[in-house]
Amino acid sequence: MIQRDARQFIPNSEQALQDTTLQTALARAKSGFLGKRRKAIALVDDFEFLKQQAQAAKQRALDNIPALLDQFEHNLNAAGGQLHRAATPDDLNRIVLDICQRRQAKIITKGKSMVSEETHLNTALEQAGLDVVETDLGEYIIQLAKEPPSHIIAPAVHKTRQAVAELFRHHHALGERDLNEISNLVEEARQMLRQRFLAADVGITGANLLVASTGSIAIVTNEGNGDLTATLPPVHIVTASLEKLVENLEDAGAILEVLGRSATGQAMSAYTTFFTGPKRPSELDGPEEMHVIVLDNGRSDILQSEFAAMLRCIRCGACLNHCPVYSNVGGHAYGSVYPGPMGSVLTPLLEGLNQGHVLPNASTFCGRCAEVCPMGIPLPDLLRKLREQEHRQQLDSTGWRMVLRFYSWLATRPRWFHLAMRAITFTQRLLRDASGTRLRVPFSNGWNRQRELPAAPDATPFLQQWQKQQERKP
Amino acid sequence: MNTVERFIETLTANAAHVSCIRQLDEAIPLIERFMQEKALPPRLHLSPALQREWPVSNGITLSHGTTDGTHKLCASRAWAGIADTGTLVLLSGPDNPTRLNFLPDYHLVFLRKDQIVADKKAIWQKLEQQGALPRAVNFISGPSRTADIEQTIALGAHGPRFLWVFVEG
Ligand code: SF4
Repeated sequence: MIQRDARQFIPNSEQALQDTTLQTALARAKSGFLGKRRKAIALVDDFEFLKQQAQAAKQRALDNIPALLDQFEHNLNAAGGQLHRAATPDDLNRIVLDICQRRQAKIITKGKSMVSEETHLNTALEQAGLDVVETDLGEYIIQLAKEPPSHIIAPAVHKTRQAVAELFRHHHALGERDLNEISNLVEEARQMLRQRFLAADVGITGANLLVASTGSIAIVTNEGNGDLTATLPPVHIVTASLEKLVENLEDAGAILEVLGRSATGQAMSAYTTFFTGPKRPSELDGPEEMHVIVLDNGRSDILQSEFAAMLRCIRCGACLNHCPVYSNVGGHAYGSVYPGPMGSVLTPLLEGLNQGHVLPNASTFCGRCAEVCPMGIPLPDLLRKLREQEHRQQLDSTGWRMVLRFYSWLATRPRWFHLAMRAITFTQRLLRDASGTRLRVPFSNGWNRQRELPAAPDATPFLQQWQKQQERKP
Repeated sequence: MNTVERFIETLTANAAHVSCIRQLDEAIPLIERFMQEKALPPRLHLSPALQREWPVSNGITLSHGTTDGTHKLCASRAWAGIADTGTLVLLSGPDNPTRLNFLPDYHLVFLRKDQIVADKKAIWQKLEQQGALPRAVNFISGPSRTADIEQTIALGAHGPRFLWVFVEG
């Protein structure tokens, strides 16, 4: 059983690697995501330019967060909406619960919101006796399976169609039916969720953007579930985090240009909606109340730290899709709300290094995440900084610390260092395998199974050659 | 390629259907034929904006207003079209209930040629000029879809399965 604990990354990933269904699903997802993104980017003249525009827009906002939040609140109020500031996950959950209880709500529909995953909102609402229904198809599937999302934009990416069919048969009492085709599964979910959309008392969605100059929130979806969640029930609650703020519509537009292309390979997702306040008096539909809850959860501190760049993240998922670690172990192995490279940076920042210190090590530093990140976040640099903190706070293993201490002792003493090098060059000759080009190191089968350690050639080592040459000089 | 042609091309690539008409009444026979082909009851639900300008169409039973999900075919008016991404922009208001954009199986959207712009830049400016935004500004680029199961695209996830755009003029 994979554990929901970021400290269990290594045992979790060992299990994930053995799980053949998961491996099939991951391989399929990877080729799908990579191909779609590549095509979408090839269609634009200058994607680098779009990336720069998006980064500049986000940076402008991050440099001015407190003022923008005030401006956002002012404009949201003017449109009849209400802003709530939540310092902690518990604050956010309590604000949502208060609204639901005041409205005597029973059925809650939800659009996808990673912030609500971060605060474990569903658990809080269910404990209070509310009936919570996730409406994004992927979120709905994992809700039935009682699992957390394994990808930030495709929460059920680890499930095969057979697994989904099995879940639907178990949870929907609809008798014998053909569920072999994906279209049948989508249709069944549509029918089941339609009733809930119409019956819901409160709709909760996330937000991709908060626009300060207009007091609007923007939601990007392909299914249309976000719009149904926001439009049908009498109350719309938005759960968003601080860094979703942008100055104005043009800046929002700059981010939309890179979001869809990086996430699903679409120039524009099927639905992008800017919502500004509740139903106007003359309108025929829309919610009576609109609440926007902005979660901080340590972000104001991150903004002041050397990790501020991480707040540029727009949750596109490109770094997950291109990560060799993520695409081999999947999202659950990380045991955290946010997986992959972005999650390996965010988890220690949000949950503390004590909880998240293993994750920054779940990287080969190949650098692909930084290459594909539309927001130019230097993910490997941030991971390296976290590893340094891990070491400074003595959270890494004693064995590893001893190795490092010994090495630093050795590396700062040239005489001993050269002696050791000579000893190694000599002994490695005894460890060569039959071909003479690889080494077999005793007690390290785990390492040797996947990788090879090349044997050093028989020639005289560089430093000895160099010394000889120096001696020969007049 | 001009802006209108580009709009039709990109919107079609987004899996929407596009018909060019000179004026509104040319849409009636097309809609009637579509209803027959799909064996749909000849009923059409209009946004108040469209209802006011709708020509006589004896073969189709009309209703108007917002919807509770019982209307299979709904028609609305768009505020703008964006050529480079194949996107419609619809504004909410007393004349344009937003439920019509998401609850029906078939969503019909009417748009005049002169409302089509090259890219989103012009849209942001136009919107900022409006002052306060309407409650909902909907950017719609094709029918509802999902790729949540095995990365395979399926249409009609929660919103309309079929998006039909009439370009007038
Ligand atoms: S870190 Fe970059 S690539 Fe990864 S989800 Fe965030 S924006 Fe996308």
